[in-house]
Amino acid sequence: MNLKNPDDKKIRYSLLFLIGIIVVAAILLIFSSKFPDGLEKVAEKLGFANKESQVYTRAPIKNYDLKGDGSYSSQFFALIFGVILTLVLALSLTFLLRKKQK
Amino acid sequence: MHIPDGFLSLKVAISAIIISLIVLIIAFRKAKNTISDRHIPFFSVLAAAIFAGQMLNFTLIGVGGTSGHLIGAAMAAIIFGPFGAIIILTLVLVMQAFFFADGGVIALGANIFVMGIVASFTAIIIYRSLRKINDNIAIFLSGWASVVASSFICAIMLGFSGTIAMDKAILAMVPLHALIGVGEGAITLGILAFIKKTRPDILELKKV
Repeated sequence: MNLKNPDDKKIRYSLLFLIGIIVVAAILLIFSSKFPDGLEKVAEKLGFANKESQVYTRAPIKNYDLKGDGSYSSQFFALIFGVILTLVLALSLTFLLRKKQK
Repeated sequence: MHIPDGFLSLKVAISAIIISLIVLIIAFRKAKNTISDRHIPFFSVLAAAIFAGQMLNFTLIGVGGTSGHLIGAAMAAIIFGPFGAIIILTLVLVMQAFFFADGGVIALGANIFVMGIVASFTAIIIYRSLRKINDNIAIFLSGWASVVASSFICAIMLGFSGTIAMDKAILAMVPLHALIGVGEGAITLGILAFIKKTRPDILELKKV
């Protein structure tokens, strides 16, 4: 990579940003809350939480927990898997969408 | 705020799918004319970052046993424009529904509508109308308002579905998300401040 080329610099920055996000997320994951989120809490409080029905049950990683044991490593690998998958999907999509250079 | 299957009536869920599809077609058309090689790396990394951000719940102070998490539409909309943000959020939401069982698949259109379309447009309208006064205040409020508006629309959809009385849903959802929105505003402000300081040129990329 030629770092004087502005496009290569942009790629390097994006890579560093990505690594930074993974490191920060891995740390925050230790402190992340297991309480229900806003909508879940409202559903509990107003008594319609039981209306939830899983239509699609083949999701490989439920509740962002790879092994389903609630351990840190299990959630960490779910995080890494999700980040990489999102990145690959976003890259593929933007390559398809990008303007062809004249 | 991921709506699971079963909370919405079929009528509401399908209406949301149709609206979201129409907006997505417009978004992809706009993206096709705008996205260049210079957009690709950071656009993709921001999508990954928003996935990570949505996975990390923070405990709300003052409300017993409740958490909130980032939506990310505001930061994406400020950096890449509202349609770019809708594409990013759609990507994240589709993945969450099919790989992580977060948010229903029939409710996917509703989730895209609430957290993608409503959040992105609210964010960009607030940001563009307030940035002349103060950029940082505009960024914070656009993050905050995006969450509040999403929760309002989510409550209306629950009401129309007959899941719960509309007024009850609004009164429970909106004040709670006014609190969660403070987290969204702060995170959006932090990320934008970091980009402004390190690579302000990213903010000058053509908006989608």
